[in-house]
Amino acid sequence: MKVLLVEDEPKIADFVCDGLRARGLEVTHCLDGNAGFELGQQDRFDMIVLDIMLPGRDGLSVLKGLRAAGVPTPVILLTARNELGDRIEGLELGADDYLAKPFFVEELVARMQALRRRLAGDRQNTVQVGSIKLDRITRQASVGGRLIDLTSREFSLLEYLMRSPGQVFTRSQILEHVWGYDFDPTTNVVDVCIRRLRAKIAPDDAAAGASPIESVRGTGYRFGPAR
Amino acid sequence: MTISFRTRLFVVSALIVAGVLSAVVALGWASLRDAQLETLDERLCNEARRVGTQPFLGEELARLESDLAIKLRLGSTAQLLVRYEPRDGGPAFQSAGWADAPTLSSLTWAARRAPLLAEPPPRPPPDAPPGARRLAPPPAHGPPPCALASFEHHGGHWRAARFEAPFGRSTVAADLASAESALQGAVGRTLATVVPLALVLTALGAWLLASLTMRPVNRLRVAMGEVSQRALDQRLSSAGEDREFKELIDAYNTMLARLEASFGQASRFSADAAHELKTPLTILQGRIEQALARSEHGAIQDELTQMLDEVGRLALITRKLLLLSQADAGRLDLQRARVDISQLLEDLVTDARMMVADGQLQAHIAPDLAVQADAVLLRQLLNNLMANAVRHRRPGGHIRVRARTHAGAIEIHFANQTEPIEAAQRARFFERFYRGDASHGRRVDGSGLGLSLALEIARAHGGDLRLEPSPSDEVRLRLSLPVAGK
Repeated sequence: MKVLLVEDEPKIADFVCDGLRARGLEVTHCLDGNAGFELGQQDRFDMIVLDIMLPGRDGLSVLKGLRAAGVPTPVILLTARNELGDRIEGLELGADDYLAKPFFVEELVARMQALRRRLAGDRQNTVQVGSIKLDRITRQASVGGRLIDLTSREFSLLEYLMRSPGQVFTRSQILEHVWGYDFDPTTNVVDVCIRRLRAKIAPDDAAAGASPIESVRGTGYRFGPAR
Repeated sequence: MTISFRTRLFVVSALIVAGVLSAVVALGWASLRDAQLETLDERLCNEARRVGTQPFLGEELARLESDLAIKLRLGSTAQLLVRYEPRDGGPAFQSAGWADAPTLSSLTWAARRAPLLAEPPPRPPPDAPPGARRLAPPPAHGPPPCALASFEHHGGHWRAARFEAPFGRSTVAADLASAESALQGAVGRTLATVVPLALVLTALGAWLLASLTMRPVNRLRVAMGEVSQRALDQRLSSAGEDREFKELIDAYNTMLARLEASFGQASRFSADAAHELKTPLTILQGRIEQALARSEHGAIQDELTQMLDEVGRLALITRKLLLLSQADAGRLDLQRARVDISQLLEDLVTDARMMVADGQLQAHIAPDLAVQADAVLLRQLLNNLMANAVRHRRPGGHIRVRARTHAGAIEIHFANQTEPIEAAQRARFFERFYRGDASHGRRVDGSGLGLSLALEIARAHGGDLRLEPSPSDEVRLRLSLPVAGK
């Protein structure tokens, strides 16, 4: 996937580029709105990640210009300013999603993938790792063909972990993805939810210790063995 | 107790008008009475002269008495006394009642003779009515003199006139009661209609005056109320106001300007600070996330994870401060849409149930409660309240959540059992950076901004958040929000 990142703060651009490339994405970076608008008009990107506060021409204006020029490339806005107002205005101007600063690159990647799936017409609507299968449309989960009853949070959590089997996710990352950035991170809701999820997806004959969701001491959780 | 300015104005002006009115009535009454007495004196003198200069026969006395009673406007001849004494020892005549008036014949007779022609005039008897007095002494060579006197007779005040005619002396006396009662009757009748009318007019006038005075005050009050509800950048217009109110408005506007300047500076500062913090926080979080992904070492991952948690906490505080400063400046930007508050609460309850043992969380949420609200802020608000209940719950304590429509508003109650909390601590719940339970030494997470932010969000939506009275080991919060229109 080819991504255009328009971000004026070099240190932010730095780790975002690094993170996206580490996940196999091809990233082009530019520092201001005018360059972003020029590059965005070229029909060679699958995704544009656009900061709102930019020197020259701000993100919302770039977005407006691109949409006016008929550029259909999906856009994810990065907001830091008065996020409430920008969020709505951005979505009205044709942004596909938004992410408030500070954000996790992991979350940005998850949003990009979800966006691509949505725009691609939901061809990949099932995820399967081992005996566990998720249907993103019906939001049903099954273990070895047996349907299990998950709450919507449990489903989101399992889907998030299963997206990258073997990768460690911290509680903060999980919290941001599953509960949203306005959720208070001081509760141990993630741990409790993981415990319940383990109980539900455990094969009938399996011992408790053999759950596919592994705890990584002090850090977080991962689905399946380490890569 | 405070009474309204309008009432005080009304009472004071009514009292003043009523006082002036009664003074006028009293003065009028006195001068009217004087005038009446003077008329009576003159008539008495005239009649005494007539009796003294025209000879009467004894059998004409009854006719003379009734004639005099009519001329003097007396009720009956009983209120009249007449006497004529000729000098030449001819036939004298007197009223039948004359003999019953010893005062007149004996005591006053001697006393009246001397002062009649000489100075000084006699002092009226001590119990005589104040109007009793002598007419001016007649000129030495003028018409024959007429003397006047007041006396008591049959328990009433009488007035007598004596005329020294060439051939005899005539005396005519009349009961003042008849004259006074006539006056009292006339004045009383007038007052009976005038006083209530005057009182009504006084009240009306006072009310009008009070209203007139209050009108600019009320106009100011309404205008000031609108200003503080909207924003501090509003100013009152002093056009068309009286000078005193112009000065008042100018002073108010000056105060508002100073308030706006310092308030704006304070909230701009915290908004700027919060915004400036976001860039380094983003960099910090991104870097730590990156380092965590690259690290293979368990202990370092452990450290980085803890750092990440702290950055997350810092980010949350920053976000809350930004929202609070926007709320303070009256610029909380609401993106209103119809929000299903029942669903939002059900989700929260589901999350909370994961952290609370079975049966310790009771929820009664009426279905399909909807509000016109900013979805993100409303979620923040409810989340803060739920997090507050979970966090400050005493181990094993109950949490109750109830949502319903009540009196045209949506009411959401959050209650949780806690360690006992003193009233002084409760009063500080909505203070910023206040953390409860500090005195118990129990570690409580959270920014200490949750409830104050919740309150601001509730108010920005036209609702309110209140601490309800409860036993000391329970906290009850009531959130009310306006119901969304269809």
